[in-house]
Amino acid sequence: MKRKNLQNNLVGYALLTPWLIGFFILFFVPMIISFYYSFTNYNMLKAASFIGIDNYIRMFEDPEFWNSLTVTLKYVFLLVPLRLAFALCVAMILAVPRKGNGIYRALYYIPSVLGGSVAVSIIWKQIFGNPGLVMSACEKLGFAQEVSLLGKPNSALMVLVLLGVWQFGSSMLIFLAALKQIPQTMYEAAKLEGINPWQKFIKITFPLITPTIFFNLILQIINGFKVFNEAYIITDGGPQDATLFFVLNLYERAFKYLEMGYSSAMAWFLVVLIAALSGIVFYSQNKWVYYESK
Amino acid sequence: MKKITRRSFLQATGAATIAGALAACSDETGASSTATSVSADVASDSVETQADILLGFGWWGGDSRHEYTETLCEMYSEEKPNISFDLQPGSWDSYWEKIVIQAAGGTLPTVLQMGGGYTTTFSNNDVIRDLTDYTKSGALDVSAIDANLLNTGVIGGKLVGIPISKSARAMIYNTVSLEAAGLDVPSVDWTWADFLDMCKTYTEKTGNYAMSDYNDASTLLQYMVHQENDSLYNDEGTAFAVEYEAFIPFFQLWADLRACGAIFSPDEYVTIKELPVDQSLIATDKALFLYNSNTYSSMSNDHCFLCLPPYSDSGKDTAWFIPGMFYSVATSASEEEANAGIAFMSWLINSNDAGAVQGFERGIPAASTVCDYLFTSGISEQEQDVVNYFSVLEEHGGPSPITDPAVLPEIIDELDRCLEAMLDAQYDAESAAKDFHESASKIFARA
Repeated sequence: MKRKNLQNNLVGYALLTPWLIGFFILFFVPMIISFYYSFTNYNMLKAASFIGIDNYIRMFEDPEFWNSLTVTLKYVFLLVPLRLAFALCVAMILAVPRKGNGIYRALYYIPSVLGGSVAVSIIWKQIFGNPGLVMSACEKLGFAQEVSLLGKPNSALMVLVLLGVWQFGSSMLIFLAALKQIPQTMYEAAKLEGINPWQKFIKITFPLITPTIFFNLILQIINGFKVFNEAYIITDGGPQDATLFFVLNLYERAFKYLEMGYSSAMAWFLVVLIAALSGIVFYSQNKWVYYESK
Repeated sequence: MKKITRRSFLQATGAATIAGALAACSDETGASSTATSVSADVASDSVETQADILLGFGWWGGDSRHEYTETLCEMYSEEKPNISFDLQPGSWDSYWEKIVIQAAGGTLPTVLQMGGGYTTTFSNNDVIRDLTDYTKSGALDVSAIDANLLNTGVIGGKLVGIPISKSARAMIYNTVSLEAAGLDVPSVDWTWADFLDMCKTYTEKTGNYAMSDYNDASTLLQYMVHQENDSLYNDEGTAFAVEYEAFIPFFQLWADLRACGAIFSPDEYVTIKELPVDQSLIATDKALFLYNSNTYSSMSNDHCFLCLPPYSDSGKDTAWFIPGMFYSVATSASEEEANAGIAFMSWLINSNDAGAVQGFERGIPAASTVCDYLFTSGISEQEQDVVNYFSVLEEHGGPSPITDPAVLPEIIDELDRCLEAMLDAQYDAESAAKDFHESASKIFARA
């Protein structure tokens, strides 16, 4: 029996090998190297020299660092609830069996596939930019705008949040699967009790999908902090750094200003920040996530 | 600097890759047909060995530069069948992002077009070679380049860049736009007040923006500071040599232009900056002026010409020549590649045939022999305009500033941020000047 187990494990590891090799070469080793670089003044052109925790100290005195952190936190705290709420709404509509659901599911998932891509970002820029679709539409409707939504610091961030919310497809699919797991008998019992749809959602649906919400929440928080493409292409961090996300700032530090050491330190700060936030969400699950098996 | 879109860059890169592949294919077949070709201009001693060499060549530019540079490489491959090229063109921004990564990985193209603050940074970090020995041995023929001009390629006692050309910032004007507003060509001694009046008139009469762009703001700031002061940066390039008050005229000029509708909002710039050079506002006759490199006029359309930028009230002669750009050789290249690269550079700089293909697009050729050849073989109206402009500049110009600070790219971004905030009416010219001085000084202090 033991021997059999070992064999099974070996087969498993053998099948994992391509991934493991990829993980070590493309992720693990570079991560270790970047950790080392975060304590150096590496500029990519010359050998790195050790400078202790100077990079980490500098972060706290760097206004651009704080700005990019604030912008990113704003983005994440706006995006994640909106995207999850929207995804859940659409999932609930699609959960009711009716003709053509398959087509809708596919259609709603498409933005997630395209989401971060260059093409969509360029289209977004043409819709919300100046001149752009939204501006022309406003003009036709009689309230011409001087500056486009992408031109104002506050609304520019909102436009990027909107692009993020639009990519609700993957959360929606996961919600959809969870909704289908809820035993119909519960709803039937509720019907006999004569409760209204809102109570049905609050008392039955929501508690039973909390594990899925929890899963989506963690995933979306991590994804949210990684935002880069949209800002790089649509706004280039502007106007006046209003959409200079953390990762975009980090990228510019590394590849434009040649401060790879400092940039690595920022990357590790982000790792710790994401881990901490995920930890808080994990810790909070006792309070609100309902597991049937418990 | 020129702007080309990411898309056209990708197209150019793709085309270059294909051209490179074609050039490589034609090597074997081309050998016999070119055996008789004369290559008197080529300093060929260093590549007598006929081993096949793939020579990496990187440059920034617009589509027209990409096209003729490919032609140049094909011409060279015909003369030297053992040399094929790995062409790596790019727009200004994408070029630097790419070659910095290549420098980190030790995979830089052998021959590099260099410029901006990057020459200093690359030289300080020993990424580009000291070419002194090659010029001494004669492998790299620099005899036709003016000694002062050649000296601009010396950084920290090392000759790290060979100037390709002489160029200068200029006020570029569009004759069709001038006519549309009933304006005359600016006089040699015009002032910023005249400039502002012309912009106002043009915008009032046509409804267009008078200025085509503000993307070269940092050099305009430098120019305007020099009109009233000695220098923008200190001699070492490690701090400003002036206080914030010196920046106010620059910011005030843009504030005035914005107030009379002669320049677009930063908002519209997001779209405008994506336009390729030949579709920019001034190239499509939808703007009057642009402050940029003299090479811009021929890149945009055939009725853009050059004049001296306006004078300040001090009346000080200020505009200056700059080494247009350099060719440098990567330290990471093998000796064999470096020798081949040196021979290629020598040909690019000294060959009349190469000069004829290149024309004045990279500025007035650094080699006087090539210049003379181009003049005698006839030049276009726009090329003649560049020549005229340079003779005006020789008469009215001031001394060139010393080397750019190594943190220039970051300073430029900071200036853009402050300028855009002011154009967006967030603060006035004085606050913008203060903000820029303060934040840029911090960048200097950190470096």
